[in-house]
Amino acid sequence: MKRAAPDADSGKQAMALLRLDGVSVHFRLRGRGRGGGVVRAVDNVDLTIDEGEVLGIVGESGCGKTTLGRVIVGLQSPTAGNVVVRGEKRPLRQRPGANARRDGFQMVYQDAAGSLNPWKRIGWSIAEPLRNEGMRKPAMRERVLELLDQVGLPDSLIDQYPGELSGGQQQRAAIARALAGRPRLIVLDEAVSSLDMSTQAQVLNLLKDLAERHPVNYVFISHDIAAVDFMSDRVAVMYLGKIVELEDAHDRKSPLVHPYSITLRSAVPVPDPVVERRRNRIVLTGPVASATDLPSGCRFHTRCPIAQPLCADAEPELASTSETSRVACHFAGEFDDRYAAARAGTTGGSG
Amino acid sequence: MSDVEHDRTILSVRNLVTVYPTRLGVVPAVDHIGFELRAGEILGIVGDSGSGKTTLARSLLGLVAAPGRIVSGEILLHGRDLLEFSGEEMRQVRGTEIAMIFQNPIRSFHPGFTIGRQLTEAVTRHERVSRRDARERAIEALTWVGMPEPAIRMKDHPHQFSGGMLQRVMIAMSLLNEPAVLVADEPTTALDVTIQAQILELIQRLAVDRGLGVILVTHNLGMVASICDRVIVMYAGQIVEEASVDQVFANPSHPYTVGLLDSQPDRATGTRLEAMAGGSPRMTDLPPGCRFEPRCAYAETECSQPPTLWPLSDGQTVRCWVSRRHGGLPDLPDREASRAGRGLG
Amino acid sequence: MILFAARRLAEAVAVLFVLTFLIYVIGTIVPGDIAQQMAGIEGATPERMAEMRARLGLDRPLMVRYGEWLGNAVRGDFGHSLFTERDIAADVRQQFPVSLEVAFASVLLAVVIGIPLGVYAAVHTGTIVDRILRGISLVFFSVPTFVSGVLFVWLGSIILKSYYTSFYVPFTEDPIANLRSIMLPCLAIALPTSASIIQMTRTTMIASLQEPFIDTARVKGARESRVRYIHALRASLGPVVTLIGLLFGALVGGLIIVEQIFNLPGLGRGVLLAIAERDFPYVITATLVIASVYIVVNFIVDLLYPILDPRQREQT
Repeated sequence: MKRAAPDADSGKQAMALLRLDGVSVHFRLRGRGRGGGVVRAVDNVDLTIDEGEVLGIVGESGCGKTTLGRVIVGLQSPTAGNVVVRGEKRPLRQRPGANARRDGFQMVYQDAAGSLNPWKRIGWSIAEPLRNEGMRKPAMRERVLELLDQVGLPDSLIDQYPGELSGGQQQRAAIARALAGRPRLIVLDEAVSSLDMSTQAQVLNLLKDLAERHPVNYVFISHDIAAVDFMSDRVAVMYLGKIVELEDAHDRKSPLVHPYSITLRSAVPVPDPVVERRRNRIVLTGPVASATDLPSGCRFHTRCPIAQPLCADAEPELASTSETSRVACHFAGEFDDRYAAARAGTTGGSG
Repeated sequence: MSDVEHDRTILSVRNLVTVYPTRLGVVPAVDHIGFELRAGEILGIVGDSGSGKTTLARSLLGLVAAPGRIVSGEILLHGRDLLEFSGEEMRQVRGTEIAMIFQNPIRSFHPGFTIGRQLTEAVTRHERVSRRDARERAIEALTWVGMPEPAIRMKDHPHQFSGGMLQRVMIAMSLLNEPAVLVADEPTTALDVTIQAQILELIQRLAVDRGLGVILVTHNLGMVASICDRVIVMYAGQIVEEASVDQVFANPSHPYTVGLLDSQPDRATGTRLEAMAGGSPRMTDLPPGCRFEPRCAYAETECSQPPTLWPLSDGQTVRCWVSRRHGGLPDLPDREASRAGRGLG
Repeated sequence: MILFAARRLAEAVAVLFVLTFLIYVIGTIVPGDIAQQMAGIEGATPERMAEMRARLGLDRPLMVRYGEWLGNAVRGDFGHSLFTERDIAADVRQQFPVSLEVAFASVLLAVVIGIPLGVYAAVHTGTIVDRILRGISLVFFSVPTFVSGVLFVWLGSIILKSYYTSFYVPFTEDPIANLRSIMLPCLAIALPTSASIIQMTRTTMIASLQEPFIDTARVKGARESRVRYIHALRASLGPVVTLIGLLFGALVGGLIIVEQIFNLPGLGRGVLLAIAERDFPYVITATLVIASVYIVVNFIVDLLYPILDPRQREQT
């Protein structure tokens, strides 16, 4: 897979497949004694996706990663900010999915069974985007067989119903349908999360193979950091509606800098007992904040192990740390020292 | 609780068979499973969905959902066979000697009752105690699992807690009667990773401090590496490999175990994963010989005969003809052979 | 909670207001002229009709008449029956308790029959008993009250002669005799009502029994009976309670028929008679009373909801 151009952020924005400028999605909650709250699912996000790049998005439940994915694909209009597709500002459309069709973007969900019509044969479901294009029947069948082949499913499946397929086969069929309209970008939202390990590996390989053979971009959204790392060129770490760190997945020598990314990675157990025994897990203690009631300043400061008084007052900008990496933390790069100090109890620093 | 006796066998399961009748015949969901669990030990049971790991866990508590049933074997808890117990005796065992926690903490609590009521119920089902005493024990259990302000939170309903906190309450509830064995069925799957880490740490601490024997059912090999002492790998209702956690990760001896490890994105060396071909067999249509043989890159002619569990070395057992002959899996001369089959759903 | 109750009360008053107005309008546009009817067909000379209209106040505009009625109604004066010329409020005060008693006793009976059978069917899904229950409730549900009513009259007069009292005795006079007199009418209403309660209980119980918290209860060592009747049933009651609230509305139709068949001096029989005689002031009063009961019952259901499901509490 082609690497992102190193100077992606600077002068070549016109080349970007997609750019988000200050995109926010705020939902208003009705009722609720205090006159209704606002959920800031996505809050002022700037992001660029280059041609040929796989962007990973990780974060915990409620961090806004799915909403961001829906904005990218065009199923959700931002309540503020602009989406720029290949240099052209995306219009605001009311009809859901209109923008996704216009841009040739697709989405694959975790629940493959739910996205295939249980009463229709697999071939019918895969051909759905083709019918929307107005393709004629014989050509359509030809194309569906080709798609089945591409996702490694036997031709015979074309006349079967979703219920007759295994979980892995259903997810492959969902991917085949996403591919049908030759999309420029596919947002994969937890697309392999419900599969067994061995099936998950097969589907991950399949996605990589497809990206080599077709000019398709992925946005790979998952809570599974290992899978995101494996798939992505760049990884965005989200916390409460914000991207707190954008890291270059190929450049593992430059260490992670945002305390939340560091904590998140330290929390994930890796399948190696030797590593696990050596490892010092950072356990978060503070209360989990919610997207309806955001903390002041840096939104991670209530749980951050190295929070300082400044963190409660000022919100850090997403600043570049290298050509491809960016981080939003006042004390970027100082985690190890500050954490060690905090553990030793020499600083009383907690915002 | 400090002078717990570790390493004593508390639970031994022998030749356990649990079947489910289906339209296409009787399915052996748990097929002649045997293992031992020692005090203070965390035993991981891993496998794909449908491998029988959850049915095994439920069998231990006598909670196999009808029409499934246990047809043979022994479940010896402190030497007494639970399968000989009456329904009422088994009910007494549940919660007092073997406890269980589930995948989804939010849905595992009754939405209509307070946490306090649900906790004290676990006591009053087994002992004649005053409500006050039951309450005090519940509050104490909540402190064990790190619940802040336990006495106040007793009055709250489940929806007022986060998933992570509820799983702590669930663990507290399981500990109320100081059981010997805790069966944890995917206890962190529904939780965020930062919360997952806290729950794993809690389970590990309980095993060490209280000598609790833990059976951890999971598909997550990271969790296994993180807190388990020994591992059972299940495939199509059978144990295919049992070993210490170090042996399994350093020297996997069943091709399926190797395949599972190769499927882990964290262990990927290149841009591709060494994925196993195909999927699990249908339980109604099992291969006559080794059940993994159709997907196996190591398969030889003898694999058309059903293999038995074979002790390799030092507590590692494996159900594989190839490993048995070579004393472990040989280097595959042609790994491309396994790659060729990759991608078949 | 108090805010919630106050809001519901305001809503109820508004509903009753609109309801009375609608009935008033409908009452004036239905075919048939009350004045003509009262004057008698032969004596209906135009002069006599005009005189009659003036006496009844029908010569004034609709809004004026409604306003006047409303003003009196608020003070508890619902006027006089056009047919019997008796004080409507006094009549209704006598008839209402009879109907209310039969209605509540019927629903109570339906619940007592319906919930245990529903639970049993849910626990034994697919068994013979479940299938028989389903068949029986289908029959109960589809047999109209006037058929089952007649059947029960026959049952009362032939088989249960020594137990059944065929005229109404108020509870305050003789509780036993009272129960005897309402026993069969209540059964006639309760059986079709219980059929829907059985089905609703069965459906929600089956769903509840699949919930993970049921396993939690078992793992705690709770007995199966406790798992079913405490844990699962409690979680299933929400939809059943809602249904019971709705059934009160459906009950009115059954009540009218049953009171007629069993000769009970209740509101239903009064309404039937009043409709036949175009006794408009009575009809509107009775409707008001029936609607009020329905609103009160559903208000109670709404109050029960957050008690049954604490998750609802924050939303109210």
